[in-house]
Amino acid sequence: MTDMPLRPTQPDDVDVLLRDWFQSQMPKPWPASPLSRGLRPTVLPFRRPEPRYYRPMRSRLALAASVAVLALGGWLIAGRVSTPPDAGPDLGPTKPEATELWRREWKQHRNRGTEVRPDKIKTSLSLEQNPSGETTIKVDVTLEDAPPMK
Amino acid sequence: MSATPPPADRHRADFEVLYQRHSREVWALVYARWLNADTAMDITQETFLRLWKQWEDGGEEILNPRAWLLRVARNLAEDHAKSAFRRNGTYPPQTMNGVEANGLLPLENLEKEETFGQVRKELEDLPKADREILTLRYALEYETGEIAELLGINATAVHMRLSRARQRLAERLESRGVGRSS
Repeated sequence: MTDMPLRPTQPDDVDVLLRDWFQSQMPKPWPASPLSRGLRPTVLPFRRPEPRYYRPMRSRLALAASVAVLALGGWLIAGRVSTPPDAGPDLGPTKPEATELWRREWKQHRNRGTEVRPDKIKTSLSLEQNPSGETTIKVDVTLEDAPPMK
Repeated sequence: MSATPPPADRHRADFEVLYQRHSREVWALVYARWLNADTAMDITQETFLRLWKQWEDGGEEILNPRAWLLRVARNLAEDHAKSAFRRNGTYPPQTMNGVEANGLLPLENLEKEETFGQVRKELEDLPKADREILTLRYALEYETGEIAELLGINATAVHMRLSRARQRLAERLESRGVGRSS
């Protein structure tokens, strides 16, 4: 091994010092190759990218599957929540009691044998605040009597 | 006995040649990143195993194995920063104070070890690019042209960085009074 300089004040001295340092760091003897020691990779290799031709096919399949699920789902849901014959026109989401009131009124009209046309249904919306401070939306639905059906 | 060895054996022979030719370069670049000889050797071995795996899997052909090895080694060295071992683990006691011990330290070696500790500290403060050049120069004894080719920079830059690093080390070590005082 090279002698250490007394004080490495010159670049040449630093050369000696650095060579000494780096040589001391290198493994001796140099290890054999990992294969000859029977080692295997410790980290899983990156997944090989898929072939180019496969990528558009997969996206098309995904699109077709999405459309199929959407169509099938819409068809199934429509079948399950179809409006019963005497339920009256759809008013959208309402409170259960309001819906019940509406159905009763609707049945009365049917029993009277009156025809209810969409243009005879009058609705009005208003905001109401109860004493506890809760704000609700009030929906008034009125049916204008029509002449008896023949 | 056949004239040409079967492909697997031929690959293995090629692999051994590449290992003998480039493993020290790979080690040097990783060492320059972490200044830890054991870590550098682990990553070097892993790099070559990745090459073998690539051949086994029949992936994309590697046109320039040297460049491939150096690139993979650099990536693995950077990944090492994120590894759980580095975050939670510690270095073995032999490498404490930045100096690897070779058994018991005689008294006459203490000052040398102290000097080495200072060298290490100064190296840690250098930019990584400078450390790479110094490692290739002093660990592998590469000439300026070889370093320039390996790192893909021009020889003037190598020369300038080398002389700057040497000068800086000389000044710092002098200011710390490193070396034998008698």
